[in-house]
Amino acid sequence: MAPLEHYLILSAVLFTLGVVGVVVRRNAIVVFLCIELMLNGANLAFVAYGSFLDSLDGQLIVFFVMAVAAAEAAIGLAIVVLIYRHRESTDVDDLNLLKL
Amino acid sequence: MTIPFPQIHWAYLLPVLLVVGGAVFVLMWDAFFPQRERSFLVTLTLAVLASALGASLAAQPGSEAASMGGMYLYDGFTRFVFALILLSSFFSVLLSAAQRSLEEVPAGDYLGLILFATSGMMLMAATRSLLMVFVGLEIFSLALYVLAGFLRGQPEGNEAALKYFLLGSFASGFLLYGMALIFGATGSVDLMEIAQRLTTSPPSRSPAFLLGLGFVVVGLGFKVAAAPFYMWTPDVYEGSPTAVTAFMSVGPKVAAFAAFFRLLLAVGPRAGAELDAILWVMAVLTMTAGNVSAIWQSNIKRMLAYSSIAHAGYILVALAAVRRGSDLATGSFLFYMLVYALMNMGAFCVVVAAGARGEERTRIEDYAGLGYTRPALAAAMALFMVSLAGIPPTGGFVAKFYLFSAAVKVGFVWLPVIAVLNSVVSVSYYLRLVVLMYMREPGEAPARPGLLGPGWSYALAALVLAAAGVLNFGIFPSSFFELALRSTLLLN
Repeated sequence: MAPLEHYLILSAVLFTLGVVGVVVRRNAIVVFLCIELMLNGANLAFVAYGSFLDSLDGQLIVFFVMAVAAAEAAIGLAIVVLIYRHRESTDVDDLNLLKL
Repeated sequence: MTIPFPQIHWAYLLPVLLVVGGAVFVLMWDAFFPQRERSFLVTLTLAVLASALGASLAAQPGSEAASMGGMYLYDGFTRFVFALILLSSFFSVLLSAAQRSLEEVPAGDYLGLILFATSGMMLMAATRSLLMVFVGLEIFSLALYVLAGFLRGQPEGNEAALKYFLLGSFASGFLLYGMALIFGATGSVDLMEIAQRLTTSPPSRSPAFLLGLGFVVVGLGFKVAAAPFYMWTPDVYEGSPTAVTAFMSVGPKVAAFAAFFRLLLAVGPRAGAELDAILWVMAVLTMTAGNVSAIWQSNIKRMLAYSSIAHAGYILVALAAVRRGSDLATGSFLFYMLVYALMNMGAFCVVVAAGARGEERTRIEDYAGLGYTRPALAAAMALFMVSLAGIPPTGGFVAKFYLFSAAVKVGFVWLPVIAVLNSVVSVSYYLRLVVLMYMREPGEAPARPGLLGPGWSYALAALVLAAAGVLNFGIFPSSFFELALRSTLLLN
């Protein structure tokens, strides 16, 4: 079995990719995709720690997170569809009705 | 391997069960009997919230406060926070029923979401498990994303919903990753066990633990709209329906701050000076950014958004004091939130009541001369503004006084001084509105004065309740403050 560090590095890479993606990408759906990547990075860390610490908690939490991510996807995509109907665009830079 | 089945204390669970059951019932009722009158569902929702409030006040936290193996924790703090959350939901339902633009929306969906969000906030506040903090936070956040864009025809609402959703989920990602790191460093997601591990074999210096703690602070800081994570607040508050904005400005903050308090109680005494410095800087940045930005706003919802950011900054002062082990800080936080809930809900209620069908009064200019056209409404608004600014004899003054004196007692000097200076700055924009209402002639004829929608009785009830509360806490604060002080925060 690979040492714990390998899993943690992979989870950190996934999380960082997600964060960079949210900041860099402009398409709302891609931004959402990157948020999912962040959640999965955290999931991997939970599973790896849980397995190495012999704790069931880590494995168990992942199921909650997956359920939450699914609910989030349903709501997020619905909101994106709503925006698209009004604007014909899912670019987050086009969201400028409310001034910053 | 045997898994011990936790003992279930139904009396402690009852408030949450009532709210969840009420949410399902309201949702289903509307699906099966869609032609029934809206006022029936509103009354039902109010009754559910009131009975949950009664149930939580009746359940005296005893020695067996923890139930469900730490997943659900019912102590004096939980009880007070439940009362706060239910009170703010009660007000939001009143406001929603009074708001003209929400008359056409499907009442069952809307009220069901409010109740589901309420249950999420309650769960987040009543746990010592980081997992439940996350789940509770997501339950209310997901409901709020939908509520923010509930008026589907309004592009501003859609935009607010998407911004809230993207930034909120982004912050949840940070929170979750932080929890994973804390779990890795301490081997548990239970705050009491984390506190024990930190004392016996201190991993508090380990980079994973500190990084995790930092990420969790980012995630919670986003939810309470603390600097530098408050950028979403003005946009989302402006774009959402006013009644939803009122809901967002109180309930989620109470819940997130409650989780923050428990976290600090567990890790605070051991995580040391870094956390102290972070909280100090966050508090100062938050209140200054909120107050200074509020001065320039021309939209009243944006102004109230920045004002709520500033108030989050004042509460962070209490958090910093709790980190240093102050009992007074917990009590003054609860009392502050109680007064804040009333005065903020009251201010939003005036915004709702001042609007007419199809046109809301959201520009500050629209309030010019309100003192002549609608004197009672203007008087109420003036009272809430004075209270938000923290001027006696209102509750806002007393609450701020307790809060800042708690910080002084644990040895903070500059923090309360900066907070008081900030309050002085805040007077300028709160009183600008009062001056505008009384010292300026009404502009172009405002939408027929005295024109009240069918929901006027709800608005009246909310206004009277809020105004009475703000005045009562300003003049006779001691009994409720005593109650807040006795609402102790526990971990085990």
